[in-house]
Amino acid sequence: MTTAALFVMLFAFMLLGMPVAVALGLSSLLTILVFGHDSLASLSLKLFETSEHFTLLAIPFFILSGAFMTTGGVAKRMIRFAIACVGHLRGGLAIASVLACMLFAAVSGSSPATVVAVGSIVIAGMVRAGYPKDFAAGVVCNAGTLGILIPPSIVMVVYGAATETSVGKLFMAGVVPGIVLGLMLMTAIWVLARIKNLPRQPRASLNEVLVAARESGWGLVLLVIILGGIYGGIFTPTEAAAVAAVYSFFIAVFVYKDIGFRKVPSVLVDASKVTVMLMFIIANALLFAHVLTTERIPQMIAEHIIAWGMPSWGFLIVVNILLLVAGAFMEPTGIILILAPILFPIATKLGIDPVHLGIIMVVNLEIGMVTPPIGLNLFVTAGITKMSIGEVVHAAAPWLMVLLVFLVIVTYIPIITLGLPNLLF
Amino acid sequence: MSFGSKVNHVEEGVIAFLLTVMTLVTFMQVVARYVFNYSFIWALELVTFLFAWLIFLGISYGVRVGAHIGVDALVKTLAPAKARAVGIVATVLCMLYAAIVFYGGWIYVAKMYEIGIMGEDIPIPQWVPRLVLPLGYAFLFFRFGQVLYRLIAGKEVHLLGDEVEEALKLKVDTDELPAQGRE
Repeated sequence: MTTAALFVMLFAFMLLGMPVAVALGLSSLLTILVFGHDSLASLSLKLFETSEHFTLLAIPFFILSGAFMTTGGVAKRMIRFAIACVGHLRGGLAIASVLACMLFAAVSGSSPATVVAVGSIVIAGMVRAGYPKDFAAGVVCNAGTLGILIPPSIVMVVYGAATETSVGKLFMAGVVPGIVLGLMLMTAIWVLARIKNLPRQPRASLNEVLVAARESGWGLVLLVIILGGIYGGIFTPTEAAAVAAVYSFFIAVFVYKDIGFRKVPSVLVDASKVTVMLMFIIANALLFAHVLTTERIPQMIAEHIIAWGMPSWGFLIVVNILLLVAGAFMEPTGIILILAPILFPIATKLGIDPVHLGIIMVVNLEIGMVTPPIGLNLFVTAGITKMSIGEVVHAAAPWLMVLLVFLVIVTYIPIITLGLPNLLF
Repeated sequence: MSFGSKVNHVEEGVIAFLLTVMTLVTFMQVVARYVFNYSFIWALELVTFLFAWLIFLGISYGVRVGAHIGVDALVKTLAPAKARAVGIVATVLCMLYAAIVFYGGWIYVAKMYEIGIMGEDIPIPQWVPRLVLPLGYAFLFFRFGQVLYRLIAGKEVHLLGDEVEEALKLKVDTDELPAQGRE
């Protein structure tokens, strides 16, 4: 009864067009006021406690670091390097676009930002080089989802905070799957390019490769600082994020000179705005998760599933379907915070590694970004290509198949995810 | 500059300042630990307080600049008059939310004030940093009230932000590939 009230209110509020954060918060508050025993003061305290969560403190810093690095200039450098490396293959520009998305994702951390920054350059370039427009748009729309899988990833920070899983391990666990997905997309492009006889670029000179590598290297050092720093025990993920933000500021303003000194305040305001938007959702989603736990909903579902004797592979199918549906309607951090407390105890009882579950959730949410009705990457791609949403959905569909195959692989071959973190930690 | 836009400027300045100080203090903490082998015990608590102020002062600013996201797929399909009616209901519910948390936050801060607990590492009473909770939600109530007023007056207003528009700001002006890519 309580559970039904909670979820019915949540969906009703969201459909009315209320902000996700308020829909989560109000449905939780009303449910507790009617059915629960918590005082209003203790519920307000729950919202405030979000700011005292040390892991979540990494979020504003990663957003700030991304804000300094998410510039057209950085995108151009990554694209130049990618083309120098793989442009000479058949379908080279498209393959390079995927590589550029992977590199850019590593410094920006945002999927839609990756699609816009890389896509607005490469899609036009591919069309001029004779690629069909929907082919170009479909590739970038899907490759852009790598932003939340390749570290640093805010979605992983949120999962780590919600389940008390090590963020360092999650970041490491994202590396190999990120590369595998990139390679799968590239292979699919290469095969299609042979069939469709798509053009290739002239082979870049060694000098060009080296110059392009040095140019984009300043940005990529960021990944080394974050992963190396956390792995080496030099700092916590939160501190790594703060160091990354200061480093990005330094590179963007003094080395790349993409951002003039006078533009720094507006970057700070933008980053604060994104932080506030995201933290408002997180605070309210934590309140929602608190209501779920006080109503013992996760425990009840866990007991049922265990009682049915559902095997772990069956449970993972349920997880995939649940997340794919949820991902099509809600924003990733909200989903993680609502579903992680429910799925986590079941997974633990079935012997599924928490890090593995985290990566499975992230990959599902990636797919949610390229599926209608609210897949953000679809809308952003439509925005930069002037195609209709319907056309973009159509263009993205074949590549979405690659993502789905990848999801099955990641779900059922845990070594891809767990190999690197287990080797290192 | 009108009073309204001055307030807006101050809001932007405050949240950007809070984020900057948070970042620098955390960064300095790492530097101090490795370079000077020293650590500021108050750093973590200070950053936590600043984070709280950033979040809860920022949410009302977020309403004004349309930063808060939601699902508007259904509302967009409605005729303008119906969409406006739904918008009014949604905004009133948002005000209800702000009012509930404001009230809860006020009781909470009042209790903290009575008990008079001090901060762990910073010698100020706990209720001072926590004051931002009722304060921020009072501002939030006010900003939602402004949205409601504009809706009822029939002016154009959006309760939800547009994430897509936001991302598209990054669009690169020149649609040219980097030099060596064009052959």
